Amino acid sequence: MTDRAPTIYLVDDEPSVLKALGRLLRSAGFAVAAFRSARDFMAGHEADAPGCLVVDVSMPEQTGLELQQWLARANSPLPVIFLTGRSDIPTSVQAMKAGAVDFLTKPVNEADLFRAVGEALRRERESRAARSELAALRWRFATLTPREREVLGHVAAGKPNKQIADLLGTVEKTIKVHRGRAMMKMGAESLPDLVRMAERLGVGGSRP
Amino acid sequence: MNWFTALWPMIAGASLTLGAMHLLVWLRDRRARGNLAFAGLAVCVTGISVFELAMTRAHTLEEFVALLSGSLVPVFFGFVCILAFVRLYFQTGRLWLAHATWILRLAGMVFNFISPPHLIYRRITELHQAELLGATITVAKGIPSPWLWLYQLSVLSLLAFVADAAFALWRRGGPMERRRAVVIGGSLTTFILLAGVLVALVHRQVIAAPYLVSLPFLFMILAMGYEMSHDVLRAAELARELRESEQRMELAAGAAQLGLWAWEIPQDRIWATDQCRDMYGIPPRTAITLDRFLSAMHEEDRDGVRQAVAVAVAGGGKYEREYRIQLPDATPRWIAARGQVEFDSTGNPLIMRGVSLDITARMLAEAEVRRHRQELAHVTRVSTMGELAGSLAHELNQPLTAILSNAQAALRFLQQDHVDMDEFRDILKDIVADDQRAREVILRMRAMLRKDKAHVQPLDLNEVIHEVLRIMRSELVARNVTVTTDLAPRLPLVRGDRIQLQQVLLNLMVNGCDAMSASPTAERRLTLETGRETGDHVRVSVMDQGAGVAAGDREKIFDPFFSTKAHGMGMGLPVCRAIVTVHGGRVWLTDHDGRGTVFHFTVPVHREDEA
Repeated sequence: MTDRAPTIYLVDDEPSVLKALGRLLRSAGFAVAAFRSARDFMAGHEADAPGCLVVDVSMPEQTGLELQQWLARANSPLPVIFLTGRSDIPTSVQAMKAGAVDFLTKPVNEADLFRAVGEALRRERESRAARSELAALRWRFATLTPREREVLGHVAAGKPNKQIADLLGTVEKTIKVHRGRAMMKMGAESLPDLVRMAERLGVGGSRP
Repeated sequence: MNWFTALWPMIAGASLTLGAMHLLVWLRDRRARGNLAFAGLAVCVTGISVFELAMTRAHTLEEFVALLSGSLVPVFFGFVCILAFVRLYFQTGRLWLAHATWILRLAGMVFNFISPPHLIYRRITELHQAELLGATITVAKGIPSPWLWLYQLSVLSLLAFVADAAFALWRRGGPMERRRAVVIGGSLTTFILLAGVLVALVHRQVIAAPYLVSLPFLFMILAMGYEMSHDVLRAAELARELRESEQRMELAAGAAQLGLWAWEIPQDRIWATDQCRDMYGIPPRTAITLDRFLSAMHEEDRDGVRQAVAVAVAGGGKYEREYRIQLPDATPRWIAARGQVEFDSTGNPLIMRGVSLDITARMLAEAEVRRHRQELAHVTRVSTMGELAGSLAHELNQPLTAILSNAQAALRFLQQDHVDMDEFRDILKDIVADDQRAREVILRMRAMLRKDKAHVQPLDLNEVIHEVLRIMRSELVARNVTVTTDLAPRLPLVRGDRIQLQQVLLNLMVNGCDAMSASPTAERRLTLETGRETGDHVRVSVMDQGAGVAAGDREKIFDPFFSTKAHGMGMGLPVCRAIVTVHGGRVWLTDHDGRGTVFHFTVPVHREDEA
């Protein structure tokens, strides 16, 4: 999955710009998928494929910002780079706040474009890696017994074994066994490692 | 010498003098035929008096009878003159009565000549001497003729004719005609009656006196002469009034700077006042022909004037033209000329009278107004384009973006081991096309920003709309406004200035977009519609779904400096209206069914015969 080459999704209502930018990105070795409108993109792109989105802000029907919101709603990890024909500060602020990688003004220089695309792909890769690590953790977490999960939650909350045993109405030794099994199943190398994993999974971390 | 012998020469002299005067009047003015009739009557009266005098001195019966018969001749002509005079002077009178009168009279006279003196006496028994006013005169005694009624009937007929004509004149007329009817009609009837009675008395030997017809006739012509002297006085008065009125006219013409002229068409001779000559740079007292007159004109206007004159002369009658006069070493002057042709009864042109007025000041003022209007239109156009500046820059940015990316891509392709020449060629083609597009954007912008004189030409309004849509494209996208067009196919061409009509459309569309700025995106819809309007106009409608125009603002919306926008100048719609009005169309607004406003404007259809 991670070894697939990323695709640059280009969306611009202006055919000549679409064609030229696609050419430029291809000349730099990128795989490009070009769309004339947000609607075409929504229908035509592959949801889980790695890559990034380069989109014009002002388009008829759905604008670039609306497309960004749609991706957010769809939980898509696809990073967004905006292109604009006018320097519109409020729009750019809104776009950046919503997590855009960059906001480039047309005519866009290749260096700026490639830098932004590079940055977007890096972020996408990272988030993808993070997402796959989390997925592994979740999978492993699912193998724990209910008791082991309970113990893990209390451990992550920073409670000593004795207190956990009191809380669960058992002896300290039993708690140690559960903790050892959980560490083994989760693949944690140390107690701090286990606590970090629990935090990432959102298990008991926030409890005092 | 006694009273009696003095009387007839006096009658004769007086009537001859009066006759001579009126004969002179007729000789001077041949149309005064009333005066000729009067002169004729005066001569007849002289003749009658001569016969009458001779009869008082007749020695033999034969001599008396011959003189009596002879006296009927001047009396007959006197009758004819009275008939003619009344007809001419009153311009009324029954013709059949007139004819009856002279025919009766002529018949009587002829009968008397054939068998004298049987019209009047069956037989004259004797002549005897009588004493009258200290003189001894010859008087006849005889048996009256049974034919005397013929003689008397003609007198009655004359009386009836005169009385009837006088009555008709009285009924028709104003104060002058009425006086004439009373004085002439009254004196004629009175004295004809008197003469008739006198003659009858003499015939029947009731009084022993000579015939005295000439005396009542003299009074008759005295009364007529008195009345006619009014005419002479009136003529003098008219002449003075005419002079006065001419002077007033000249004064008025001078004050109004009007040049008066008259062109005698068959002779090709133009009369013109000095002021008029001044206008055309023609020195006083030189002859003017049509060509001389045309030569003063500006070259470009000459043919038009020649044509207008030809049309008027050919039967149109009216001549009306504005043209420039170009005198050497002078700036051109604008002249407005108006004329009217007079034709004879067969339709040949006789004369054209007219006036010329120097309207240079007015034309300059109008040109100034036109210039101001154009400047205002330009300023508002530039201001509208300013509002669209962001979108226009964007419009230019698109091809620039494509060109830059294409060029950079091409450079990268060149660095590769294998250069795909087909791809390379495609890139260059695209660069050329995009450059062309950028050029068109700039040309459109420049046309809208340029300050040009209006250039009126046949235009396809649908095409104008497409052009404006191209200018507005980015703006519409930026404002999330969708445009729907409903353009009538095969729309006739209109007459207009492309840029100004684009300005009107641009303005109405920007207004429509502004009106919808608070509407939800889905409802920001602008509809453009074209269609044929009655009265040979094409209509364009711009329909928005915005907030609408408040009823109270309907009237004010076209007023200068009235704006409902926060940053509006309030000049957009007034300028639109001015442009459309100058084009010969109108602009108005209606409610959009349900929601929003529709602005409509019309432009007249181009006709082939218009230059």
